[in-house]
Amino acid sequence: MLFATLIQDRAPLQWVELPRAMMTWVQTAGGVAALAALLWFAANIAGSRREKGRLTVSRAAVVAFGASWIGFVGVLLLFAVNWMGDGTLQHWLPTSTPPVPPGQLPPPPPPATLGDWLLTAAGGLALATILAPVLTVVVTRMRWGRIWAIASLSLKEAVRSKVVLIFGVMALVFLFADWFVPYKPENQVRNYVRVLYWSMTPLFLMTASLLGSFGIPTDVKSQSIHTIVTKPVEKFEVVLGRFLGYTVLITVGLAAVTAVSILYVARGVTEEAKLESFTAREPIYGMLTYHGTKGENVGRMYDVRGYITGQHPNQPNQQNQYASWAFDSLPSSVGADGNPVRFQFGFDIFRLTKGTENQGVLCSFLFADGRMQIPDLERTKERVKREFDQLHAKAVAKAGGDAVALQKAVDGIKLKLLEEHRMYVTAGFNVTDYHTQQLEVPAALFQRLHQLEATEARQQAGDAARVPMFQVVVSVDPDTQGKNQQMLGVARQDLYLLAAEHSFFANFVKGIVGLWCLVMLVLGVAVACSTYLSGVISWLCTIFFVVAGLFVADIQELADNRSAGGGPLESAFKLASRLPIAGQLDESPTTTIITHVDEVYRWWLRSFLNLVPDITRHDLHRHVAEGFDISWTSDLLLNNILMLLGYLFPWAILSFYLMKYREIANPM
Amino acid sequence: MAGQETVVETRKLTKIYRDFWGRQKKVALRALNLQVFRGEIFGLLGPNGSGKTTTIKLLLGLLFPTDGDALVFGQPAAEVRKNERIGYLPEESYLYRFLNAEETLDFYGRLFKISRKDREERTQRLIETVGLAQDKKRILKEYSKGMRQRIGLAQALINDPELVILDEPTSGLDPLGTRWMKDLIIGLRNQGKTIIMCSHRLEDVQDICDRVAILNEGELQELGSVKSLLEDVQRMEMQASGVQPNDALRKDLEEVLARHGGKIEFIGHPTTTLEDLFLRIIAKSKAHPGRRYLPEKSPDGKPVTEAQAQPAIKK
Repeated sequence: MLFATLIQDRAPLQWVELPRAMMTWVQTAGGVAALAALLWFAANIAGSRREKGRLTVSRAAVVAFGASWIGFVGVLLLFAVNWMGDGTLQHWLPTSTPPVPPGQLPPPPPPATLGDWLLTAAGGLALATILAPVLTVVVTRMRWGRIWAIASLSLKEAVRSKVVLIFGVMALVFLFADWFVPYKPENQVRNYVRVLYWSMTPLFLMTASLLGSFGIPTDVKSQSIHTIVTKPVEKFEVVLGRFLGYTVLITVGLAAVTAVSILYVARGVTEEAKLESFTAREPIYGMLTYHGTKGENVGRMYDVRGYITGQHPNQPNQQNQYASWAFDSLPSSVGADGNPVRFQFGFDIFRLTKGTENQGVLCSFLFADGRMQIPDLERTKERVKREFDQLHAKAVAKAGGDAVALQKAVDGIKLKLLEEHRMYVTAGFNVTDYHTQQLEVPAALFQRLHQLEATEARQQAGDAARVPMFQVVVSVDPDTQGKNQQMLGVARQDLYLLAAEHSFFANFVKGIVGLWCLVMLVLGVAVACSTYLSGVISWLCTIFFVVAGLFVADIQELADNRSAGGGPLESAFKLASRLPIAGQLDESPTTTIITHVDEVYRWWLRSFLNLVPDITRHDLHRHVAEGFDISWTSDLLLNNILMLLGYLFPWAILSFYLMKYREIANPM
Repeated sequence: MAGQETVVETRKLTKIYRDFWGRQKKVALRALNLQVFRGEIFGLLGPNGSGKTTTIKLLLGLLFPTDGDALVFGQPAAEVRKNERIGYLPEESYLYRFLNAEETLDFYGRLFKISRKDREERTQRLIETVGLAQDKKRILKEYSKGMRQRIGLAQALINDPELVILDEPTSGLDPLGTRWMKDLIIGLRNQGKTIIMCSHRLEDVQDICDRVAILNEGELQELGSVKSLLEDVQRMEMQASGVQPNDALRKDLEEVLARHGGKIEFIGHPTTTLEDLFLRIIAKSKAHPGRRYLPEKSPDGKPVTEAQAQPAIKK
């Protein structure tokens, strides 16, 4: 029996979304850069003293900075003119991604408007202003030999100060913590992966945050950094050297933990666990829609599922309810080898009656050409059933009691009907909850669909909706006796086509890469904070960002005004006035002020969210624990490594300027 | 000094320490103007808090001036590339205590454009020069103060600098170590290097510096060569040998000086310095092991013999 589903809190970034995501990044990072540069200029102009030794600003940088602010002001003017003109320039304003409720796929990004391009250009110019001095130093003055010398120093320091020894002892204890956690045989691998992740993550995060936070401040406090920066060493080389040294240390530690873990798992896995999650499934998900219902909400907390039910004798006029997964396209490899194609699913059951003990819900599965609408499917299903019955009767008569011949004939009939009607039906399947089950569909169906793809266009001229190549339609069989009325809960990721299965161990390593990205994120933030703050304050700042990152979804909910009660001022007003929290406020001057103040608060929250790392994005342990493949390109490269670089890059720039501006020997 | 290359120059160099809110806390240096020429040993003198270390830190780019300029080899002090030609020995030996002597010099050598072979050769040579060959594998945590000072000087010389900046180089050293350091500094000057030495030990500065600047409360009080600053042109000193001071000699000398308008202030035996005495005694002790001090008479007034001076404790 299997139990493996992977429901993700948010849809991962796709390659097609990358250009708009980069645009958004340039706008956001550029905005921060423009603001920081403005504050710096203002501080230098307003100050009556000049501090020599700071970075000199070139004329080109001043021009670029000025142009960027003209761009930002231009966008503000667009908003102002649009507001005054009652929305006449709406199509020019910058677009924004609407909030996406959990479990939903984000809509495709709208085309970029004039406002988007203006904002991007302004952000790009501001970034160029900030980056130019950095790139000059990096390209013309920095030497990797010096960086590596400082990195080696960091490694030696960590080893000789017994950090590595203490860490190794702790890691060893945690690696075998699952000995003390009871589990069922089928959960052996899942349990180990979870325990390993939840024990190693805080251990590595704490180590990274402490090493990163205290490295440079200790040097400054002990003044040993004086003997380094009085050599021809750029201060940023010190930062990079420290970061690189700790990165090497942590990477080696992670590699050691991974190696020991793999050996531990490889020593023996139960048969049940092998079926459960000792694999790396490569799923192909479809888009879920409901027919005859909108997918009922049965009140389960944290559930993204919608529920369907079957016909009941007491409700003869009830419309048939279906859950349909539409697959826009399928790889040509699906069904090419002639082997049955596997579909796995794990649904939830909400019981309306006690039902029959040890019996699940009987369901029908239709695997069909995506061109067919639901009425077509119903008619075709009936026709297939009639034809099958007719042909089956003839085959029985012809077989004359020969079971083997009869079976062969029946298989032939099914294949013929499948190819003719492009549909495969499994009716009366006993779906149980808390298990992942599997159905096999003959490869002939997919071979037929691939043939159709080559010869017949799916999208007709004038069609508004995209016609999928393939669909799976699930319905609950009618409860003819009225004794077993149940509801079937389905979500998009509950059903998938199992395209391939890969090595668990390779997947395990990929999961560790996700953890590595998380640890590097924390290390980068810690090192950046330590360039200006003391060790303890750096560490506290780092922990603050990490904890805030764990609650990004909750903060986003507040920022999107999706929480009950509204903003803080509105909630306080309701509490003080003893109004219902979920109710709407009557319009009045007071409530208008309250609403606007709360909107400003939400704006600050959204701005704050730009600084907070998305910690949970790097959590890939559920993929490994549940036996789902982590893709090299989408999951690792795009959603982990690229995101890590995008977040750490501004911190690196900030650390460059903090170190450059810092008077190392100033006792104040 | 005319015709000499200026290695370091400050022009109205000012440093005011402020707190986080920009409030003035201390004026550490006020409009300092001075020049250091190539090939000289330049001393920065002053009591604690006079601005000596601040000046050095400004020259090294560890601090930014509030006003004025600091130029080293014609470049602003904040320019990192000038550090290729500078060696710096801090007041305290702020080295990494988990490294040994070889690793320390190798690490600092890697921060310059020195090939691995040259680095290894220089490391061994400098360790020999500073007298730490027997302790080169021990980590710095186990070193004494004097040993750390020596390795600190070695790291300052790893790049064979043209300008060597020493902050309290003899601090914490015994007289032997102090003499050794001073000899080394003179040796560096003789190699053509320029040395800036910051100290509040007047005898050390007087001994080896060519020129000094005296600071007090951030202001330059005096600047010039040691010889000219210390020379008292109003008085004359003469040393003679072959005679002992007596009344007849004094009377004759008074007559001669009176004819020239002068008078005797003091006739007596010249004194050496305590340092010279100390060094001579230590040298004798090393040359004659077992030699010990013999008082002229015992408490009962009788001469003390060698046997009487032996300790009662048997080895």
